[in-house]
Amino acid sequence: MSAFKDIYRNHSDMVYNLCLNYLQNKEDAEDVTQLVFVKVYQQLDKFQGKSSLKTWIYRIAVNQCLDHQKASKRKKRFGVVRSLFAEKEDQKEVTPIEMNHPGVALEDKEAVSRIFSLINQLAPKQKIALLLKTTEGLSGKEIGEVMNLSEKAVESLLSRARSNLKKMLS
Amino acid sequence: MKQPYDLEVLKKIQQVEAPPHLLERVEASIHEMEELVSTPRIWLAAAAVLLLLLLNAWLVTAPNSHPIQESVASELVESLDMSLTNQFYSE
Repeated sequence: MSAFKDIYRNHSDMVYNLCLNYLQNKEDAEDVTQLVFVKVYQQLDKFQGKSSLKTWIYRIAVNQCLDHQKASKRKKRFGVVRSLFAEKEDQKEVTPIEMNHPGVALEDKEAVSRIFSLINQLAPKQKIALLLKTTEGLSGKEIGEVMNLSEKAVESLLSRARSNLKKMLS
Repeated sequence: MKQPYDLEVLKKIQQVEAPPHLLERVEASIHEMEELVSTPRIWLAAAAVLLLLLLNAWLVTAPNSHPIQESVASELVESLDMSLTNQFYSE
């Protein structure tokens, strides 16, 4: 357990910040970080050292974030079905992002919230690649190792992500 | 002119420390998970009790389950010269 605690101390901030940037919500980021480290504890004996520990933990974190997003989308879909049976509302669905990110200063909140609302519309893989590049500062090679992709595939993902962001604004 | 999709704005996001209570939550979760793993012992105990109950039921319902008791009863009836039927008067 003490070895695990060392791993936690060395990587918890990294995982928590990735989850925060992906989910943009403090409570969700805490929940997913918890799940990530439970999984790390469960699978630590299966870690073969083919990649670095950091990359391996990043990979688990990315998968957990994607799973969390899938689960919340499922909940939203169920919500839509329920709303069909609920009272009719003449409101168009508005999805402003309810950002609860302790790393964003108050003066930057609007700008960051705006760019996050666009990033959230990207395909999950594009979103992950873009966040790993921009907020985590990982190189193309490192992103490839985390996402099990070649460096070229990562570049292609990033390029598509940027072009999609441009399209959304045009 | 600054582009509206300028990703540079994301660099303004500061890295924050994971909340201190998170380690406790992780440890509690792991502890809970390990307790769940130990449930086979509970299942084993439940299976043993069930086996005992089944054995009891079989002993009660099995044919000729009390041969010794019956033979003792018939010997006693014979030694006392008693009738084996419930008839009070012989016809």
